[in-house]
Amino acid sequence: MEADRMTLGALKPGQNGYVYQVTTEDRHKRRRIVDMGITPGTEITVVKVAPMGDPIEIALRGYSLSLRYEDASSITLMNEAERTKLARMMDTAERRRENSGRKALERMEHHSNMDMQEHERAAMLTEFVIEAEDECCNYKDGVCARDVFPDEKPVKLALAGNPNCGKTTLFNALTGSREYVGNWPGVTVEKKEGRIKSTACKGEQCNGICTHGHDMTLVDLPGIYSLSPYSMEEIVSRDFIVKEKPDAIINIVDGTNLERNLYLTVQLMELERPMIIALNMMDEVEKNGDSIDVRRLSLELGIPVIPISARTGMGIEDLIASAHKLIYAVHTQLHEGFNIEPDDLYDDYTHLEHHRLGNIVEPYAKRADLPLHWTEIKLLEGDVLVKESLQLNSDDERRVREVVERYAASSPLGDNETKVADIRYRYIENVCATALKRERKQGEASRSNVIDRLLTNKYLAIPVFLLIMLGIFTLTFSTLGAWLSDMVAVFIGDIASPFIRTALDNAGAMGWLTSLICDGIISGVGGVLTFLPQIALLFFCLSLLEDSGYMSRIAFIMDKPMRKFGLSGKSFIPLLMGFGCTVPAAMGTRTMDNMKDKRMTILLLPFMSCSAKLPVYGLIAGAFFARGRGLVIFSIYVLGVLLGILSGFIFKKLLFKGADAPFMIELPPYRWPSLNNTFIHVGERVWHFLQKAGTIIFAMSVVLWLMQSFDISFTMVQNAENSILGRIGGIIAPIFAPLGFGTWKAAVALLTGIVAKEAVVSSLSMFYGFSLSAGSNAIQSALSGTFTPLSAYSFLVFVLLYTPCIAAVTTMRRELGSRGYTLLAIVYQIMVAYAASLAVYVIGGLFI
Amino acid sequence: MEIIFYILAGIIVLWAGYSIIRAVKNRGNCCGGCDNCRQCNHCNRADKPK
Repeated sequence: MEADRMTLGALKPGQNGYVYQVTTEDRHKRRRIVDMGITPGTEITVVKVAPMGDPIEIALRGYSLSLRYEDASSITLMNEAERTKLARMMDTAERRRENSGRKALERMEHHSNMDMQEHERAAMLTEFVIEAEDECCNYKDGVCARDVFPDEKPVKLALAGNPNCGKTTLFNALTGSREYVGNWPGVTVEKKEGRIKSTACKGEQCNGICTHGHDMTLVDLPGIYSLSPYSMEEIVSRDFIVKEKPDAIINIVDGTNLERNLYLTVQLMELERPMIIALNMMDEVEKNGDSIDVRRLSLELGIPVIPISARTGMGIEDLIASAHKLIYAVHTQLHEGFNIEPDDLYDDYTHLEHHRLGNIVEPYAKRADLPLHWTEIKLLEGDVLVKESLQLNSDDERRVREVVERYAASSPLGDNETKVADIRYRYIENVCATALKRERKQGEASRSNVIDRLLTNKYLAIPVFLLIMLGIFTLTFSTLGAWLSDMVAVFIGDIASPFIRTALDNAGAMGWLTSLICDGIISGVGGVLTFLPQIALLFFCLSLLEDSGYMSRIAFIMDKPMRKFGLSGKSFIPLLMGFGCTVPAAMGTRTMDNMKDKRMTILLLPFMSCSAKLPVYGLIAGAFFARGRGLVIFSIYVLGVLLGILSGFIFKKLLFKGADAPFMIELPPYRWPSLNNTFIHVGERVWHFLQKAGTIIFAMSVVLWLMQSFDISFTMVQNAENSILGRIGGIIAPIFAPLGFGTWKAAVALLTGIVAKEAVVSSLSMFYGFSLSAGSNAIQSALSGTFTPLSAYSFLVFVLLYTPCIAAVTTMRRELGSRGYTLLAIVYQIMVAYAASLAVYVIGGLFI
Repeated sequence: MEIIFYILAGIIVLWAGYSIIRAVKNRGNCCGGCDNCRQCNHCNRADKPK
């Protein structure tokens, strides 16, 4: 009978079914699936299949999720009759729960009254704060709490929520930070701290957030779906709350995806810290025609709920007004201390068993400084980390095991983790039944569905994706980007540099100083600055892709081909970020909960040509392939991707054998990218690029000029070949001779690229003595002593593939968590770079 | 006038030296050697390098 059950993987798009069981043996995978709301009885509709046949997109609990056929096939379904039977059983159980709950309340009248009072107080506070004016409480009197109570104790708040729920936007609004916000899960990969910006009231000039006299610090935890012991982010988050004991938790909940978001809320409730819910995306909830009764939600949960609309594109004034109210609620929560023991989350049986566990482990939990309620429920779930930290004696360990095993045998619907997840979701369903009114039925077309019909269409998805990429490359490297770069080059080379040279000469400056400033600094730093417009444009385009929600679709589309060489669609996002910079891309892999996938993605990152290499491509391709510059650069990028794919196959066969990691990615609704957010993003990148040009590139230019202008006895030389640099380059140059560029100048330029890739351009312009504003013919003739078009292309291939810069290697080392793998990455990159350049030069030589 | 040029050269060398020390100290952190700090949010930690 069980073997004949239909699985989710057998459903066609448009069909729906009800979950019976998650049958996979892999505990981690099973937990990930049930945490996303795939619990017994849940209705699931298959929305579509990815263009390449896998994964599939499903709709459940008011949101869209993508998962692979392999995982979908481990989810068995019920027929209508079974589902009705289960629903009836659940109703009966629910009635029994209510009845026994009522009886229990009667027996413990004081406790129940207290609990009910707390729920009522939470709802009253919610109502009060919503109706309150936006300003701080004492604004009208012209008195500021900071002046009256200057010594209020510092307060630490934790900001927790699902990925992509608007956490970073709220964090920025509260702290005045300018962290980047994306529209795909996993922007925050590590917890970060900021002080809530508060200014003392100065009459009507109060423009900060009233913190009621407290110095408030906000800790932004990584976006998580659950508090399981399986992923790094989840462990970091729960450890922070358990060990650091924040004074209050601000739980940001996406109102458009209430059920799934409340799953984390109820787990945070189990940690028994004062909590406030910031109910986000309320504007979108209204736009969808849905409504949430905020007071009712607050009453049901026993937690104050403050509606906000912190999302990209909304007015900052509205967000600050919401932030005022939120902090007001936080402050009240701190002083009033609403703190509900979340017993009514569970059915009677679970409640009973978790109390039995409490009787055994209470002294252990106290000793380990863990919240008792949370400890009990985690033991029931079989959380190994919590069990280990309790250090139970053998007798108590046996007693705990007996309770846990009895609970496991109590129902056929799955293991303990599934059962507890199911109970939480049932509680959430009851809360949502009273507080949420949804207009649209599951699977019904929304604006995002309509857009997806084109962008994830079976036949159009790949051509559209390639067109978008080609558009970005053309805009950045050929048309607007190239024109802007030329303008900057003309300004630096034809206006600024001659002007400064003349001014220095007229003022009687020493020759060496003029040379240092004009041939060293302006040539080096200016050479890099020339490519600033192209880099800004590239990031502008990538930012639009992220903000719109298209990035997640790329992961959805690309999962199947990525699996071919042992990666998942999730790897695609860090790899795409790798085109910007390897450092954050390596850090972005932290959202991947499988070490094998993570390491493999990091090892492949250097194949994605980072933006710092762009100036080198621009210079060489502009000089030697003026007509097909865009095409040559595009071919370099494609070569990098192809070699990355090839390396993926090799790594999969030799290094990372074994099963694939689970792939589950949320497909967020499409949103209009906010220009404000995009400009913040681009502005920050430009600023960092300028910082880099003004510091390390500047220093490199000075050092290189010194080494190029002086010999070992520190005498100025006329012929650079006799300089310190010329001598060093001369020793290593023969290594590059088979590749077509065996001169000391090219060799040293490549060496400087290990510090920063842009330095290759500065070095070349200094060694070959050309101005970057010079026309392509002039640069070509300057370089022609070393390069032919073929050896120039071979040089570009080497730059593309050889060891990443020091910053990238250090980050890779940290993220790989292994010296061996880091060394492998370095050696492998050099070998591949040498082999590929040699192949280009030798094979190309046969045809030219 | 010559002294001004020597001071200028001194400032250039000092700035270059400072930049190198800063980059070495911050190696591996976004703000040290990369222009893409914002996505990883690494530098906003309490112990972020100055």
